[in-house]
Amino acid sequence: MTNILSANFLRLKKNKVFWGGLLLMAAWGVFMPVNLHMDAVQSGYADNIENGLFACALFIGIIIAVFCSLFIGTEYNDGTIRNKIIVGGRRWQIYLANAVVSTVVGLVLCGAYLFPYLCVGMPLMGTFTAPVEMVLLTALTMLLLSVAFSSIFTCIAMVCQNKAATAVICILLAFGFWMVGMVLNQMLEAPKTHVCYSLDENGEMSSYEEPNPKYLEGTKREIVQTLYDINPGGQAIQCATMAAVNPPRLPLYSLGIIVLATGAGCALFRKRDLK
Amino acid sequence: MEYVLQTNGLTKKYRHFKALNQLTMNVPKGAIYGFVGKNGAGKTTLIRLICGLQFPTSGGYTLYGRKDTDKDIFRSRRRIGAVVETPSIYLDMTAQDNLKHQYRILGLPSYAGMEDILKLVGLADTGGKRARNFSLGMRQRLGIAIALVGSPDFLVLDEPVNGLDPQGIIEIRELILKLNRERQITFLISSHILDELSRLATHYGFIDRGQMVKEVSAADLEKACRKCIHLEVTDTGALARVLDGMDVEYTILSDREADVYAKVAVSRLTLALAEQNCEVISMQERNESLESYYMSLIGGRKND
Repeated sequence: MTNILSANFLRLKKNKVFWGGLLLMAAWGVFMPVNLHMDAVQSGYADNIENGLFACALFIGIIIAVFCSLFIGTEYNDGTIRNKIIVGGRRWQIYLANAVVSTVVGLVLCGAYLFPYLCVGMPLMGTFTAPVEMVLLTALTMLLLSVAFSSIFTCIAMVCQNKAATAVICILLAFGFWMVGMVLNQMLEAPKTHVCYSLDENGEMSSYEEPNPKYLEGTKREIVQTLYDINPGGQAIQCATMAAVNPPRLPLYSLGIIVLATGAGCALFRKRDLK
Repeated sequence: MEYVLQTNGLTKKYRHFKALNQLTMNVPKGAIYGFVGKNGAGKTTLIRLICGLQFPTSGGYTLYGRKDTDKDIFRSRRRIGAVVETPSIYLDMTAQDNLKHQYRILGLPSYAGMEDILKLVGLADTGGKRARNFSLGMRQRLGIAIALVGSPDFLVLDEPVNGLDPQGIIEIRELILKLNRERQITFLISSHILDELSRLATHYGFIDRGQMVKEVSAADLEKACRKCIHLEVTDTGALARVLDGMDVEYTILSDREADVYAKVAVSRLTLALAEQNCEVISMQERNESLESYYMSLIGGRKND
């Protein structure tokens, strides 16, 4: 597998999408703390460095979707995946080599955001105000989330033999995860009660609190919370806002996604007839 | 005879369509094996199977003595190179980078010999030009160059001259002949351009509707296709006596027909036959080409 991996990294070195993504993340990593600091100076409120530290989690899925679909899709589009099989490369090796490259790219892209963010943000906003354990756990969650995204999109790109279809499916799925995460977030964020206003006989307005029918309770809340935690889009929102309800569970869910997506993708690719 | 590839009852089904139906073929070592068949006959399917891109529905094949079901079949695959349908090259890379990539896939310790391969296929001076900007012939040659990395003993080329201009066709032909002679590389070439194939092949396999119709060596095919005069006479016994007297090679086809494999003086022959009370009814010169041989084979099957 090391041979195929070495060949993949050789190609990665010359891949424009990778370098473009890297530049984008680095630029964003510089822009975010500067922007937060300017806002804080204008508004007079002090800002914390961790506020935007994991904001890249929101878009890392989309960037990895674009990279995987183009990098792996090219192998089918140009027919070069055949070169690896013809000369005796085993299918699981080819799959895992692509999965490793996608994973490394995901992690490097996260690093390309985090490193400039900290370098620029710390002199401007100081050190963390949140507990260090929480920051580290969120960092671990985000890194595993990026690996989970890489696993999912590698699986799709390796099983689907059409580059254009792969790109459409991966990008739509990345947005889909994000949108489902937003919907679930809204469901969970609904307040327990809401204030109602009424006019009495004298025409005076009075207010009272009423239970919110949209507030989720009991098993229903647990189910939605679990779905929110499992869904990579939901995890991305929780990382970005650093407001996870069950922080230790998220990395475990990501690990589950990685194992399932890689296992299923590898099994499907091994039996697939290639054109 | 030592064989590089042997298939045994190889069958490949796509849902209800049988692309290969109990196909049996034998590719001898050192041969240029011309794999002939019309579009959709199953040529590319067979190539995909032996390259490991697809899996047989039933039957199997042996590559360098290893069965396709053997766990170490990948060791035999290391000895082959292939260009299946379109050349498998990264279009956004240069010729050199494409080769470097293949060197890495094979785990070769250095890029030694890369320049020689590029020279051999005539792409040594392409510099920083990306494969996207190559002509069809250049891409085809780059595909062959990639297949040559790792010094394979067996090259599989699927329609290598399809879409090439006359110059490109000549270049590919010369390259194949050179590799076969100088490096003793065995070739399996699928094509339906029979005239081109007849200039290269040492063995032929004719495939139709997923089945092998006939396997024949070029020497046997030449015998079958050689120039002759087809005679229709009233008495082939008399004809045989006259031709024996003239020391001419012939084949009696029936009691009225025969093929004569020599230029004979027509007036002398007819006079000699007249003396034997044998009349010449018709006389035709025949020169069966690979094309007409193929048509008689496949056409014959059509009429079955």
